[in-house]
Amino acid sequence: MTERKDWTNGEPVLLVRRCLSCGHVFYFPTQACTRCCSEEFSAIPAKGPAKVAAVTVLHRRAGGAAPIGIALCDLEEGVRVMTRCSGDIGVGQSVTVGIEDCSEESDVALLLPVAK
Amino acid sequence: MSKLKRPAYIRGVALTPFGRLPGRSALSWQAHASLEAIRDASIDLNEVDAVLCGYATTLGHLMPANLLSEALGIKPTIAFGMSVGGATGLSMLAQATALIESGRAQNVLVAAGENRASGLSRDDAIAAIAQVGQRDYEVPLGANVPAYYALLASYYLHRHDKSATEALSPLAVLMRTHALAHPGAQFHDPITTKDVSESRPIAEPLRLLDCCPISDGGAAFVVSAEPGSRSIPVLGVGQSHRHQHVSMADFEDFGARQSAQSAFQDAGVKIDSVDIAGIYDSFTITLAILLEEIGFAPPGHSGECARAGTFSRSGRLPLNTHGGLLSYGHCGVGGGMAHVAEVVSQLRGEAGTRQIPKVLQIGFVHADGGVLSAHVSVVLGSAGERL
Repeated sequence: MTERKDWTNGEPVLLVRRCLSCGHVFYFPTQACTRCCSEEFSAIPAKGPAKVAAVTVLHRRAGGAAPIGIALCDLEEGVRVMTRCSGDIGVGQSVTVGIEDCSEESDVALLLPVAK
Repeated sequence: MSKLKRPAYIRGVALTPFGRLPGRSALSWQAHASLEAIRDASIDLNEVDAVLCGYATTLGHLMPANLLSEALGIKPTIAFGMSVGGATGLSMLAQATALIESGRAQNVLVAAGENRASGLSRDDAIAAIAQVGQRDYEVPLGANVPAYYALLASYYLHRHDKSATEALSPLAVLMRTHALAHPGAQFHDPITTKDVSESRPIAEPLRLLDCCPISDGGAAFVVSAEPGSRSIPVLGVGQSHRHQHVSMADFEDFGARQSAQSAFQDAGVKIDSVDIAGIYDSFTITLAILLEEIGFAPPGHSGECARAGTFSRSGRLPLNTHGGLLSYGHCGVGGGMAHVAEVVSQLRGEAGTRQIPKVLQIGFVHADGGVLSAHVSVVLGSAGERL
């Protein structure tokens, strides 16, 4: 598999993996396809239109930090992605998932997937 | 159960009080519960030939079973630590059963204990268990375990078109009602559904009273080949492990059904025969999903069943009669073992004022670890039953 950087290592891009053997698309960079266990897959950038599968506003945060919205969004590509979100989106709602700079709440550069 | 296997019996159980109870280390809780379980089993300490011990976040030891063995002054021929999140206790029970069935051991001590409430700050305890999230793709978002379960709850409430107050709050009230009858429980004040829905939001739609507390405490079992007069036979065991992270979970099939069905099949018992159940209840939503996947409540109706009395002491299926994780408390691995200790006490007819007023022949316990990630189910028989 070609190593490509995504938001977890500083590139503002959301990557998903497509299995070269069965075509299954999955999110986490696992060692083998989560459907057929093939070890050959490519990383492709995801476009972002999505539907909200689940959402929460997390109030209980370490050090009394301000509440944040967290969602699981089902991308058009067929993967489920955990994102930040505003508190007013609901399950079933159509959103767009993009990578945004959330460094204001951290001492280091922080890129995160955000659903809007 | 296959006739080729040697039967295994839960011969002794121990459950300490749970709560904020400073003064003991994790090892001290484990040893304390172990000694009590060995006394309950009416065996000598040196008859223990295998020791299984659950992880403790406050201890972080590489070899918890060896550490515990030394502390108890015993030299078992088998000793290992285990780590399957909240399912660790039942996973250890499953392994202990396998060791007996295979003839590798005669008396297996299964123990866990932790000073999770007094040994860690609440922030540190929440951060420690948040690591069940995916390190690169979930944890950096700031999510924690209550948030992961809140995501499940939002999906569940939307799917069944219900409010948290009708679908989830009654489960918290039921657990509190049961805890009131147990002197070892962390909480002793009654609550109403209104109290639950008006408690402060933790991770919406979950509120404080939808979440289990963090506790100190311990629990232990002795699983033996030779039954005593009060021993409870392990009739069947089942497991299922379908994902680790919530992002990877199949929300229509977390694995509880498969786990329970294998256990029932292993036991040769039908789900309708279950007289008493102990089901993992880290959050109200955990309990609702598990009850429904296993088949103890129709989809979306756990809260309604709880309100209707189905799971009460006098109901069709008494559930978590010690108060569960939600109200007896949750000290980590020992928290998931409390359900077993309670079901065993009930099956033995030794639950005192909590004793269910009917004949109990079949018990069922189920635990999950992670975010409904690891599932272990165990079917138990009645006291004195010989396999």
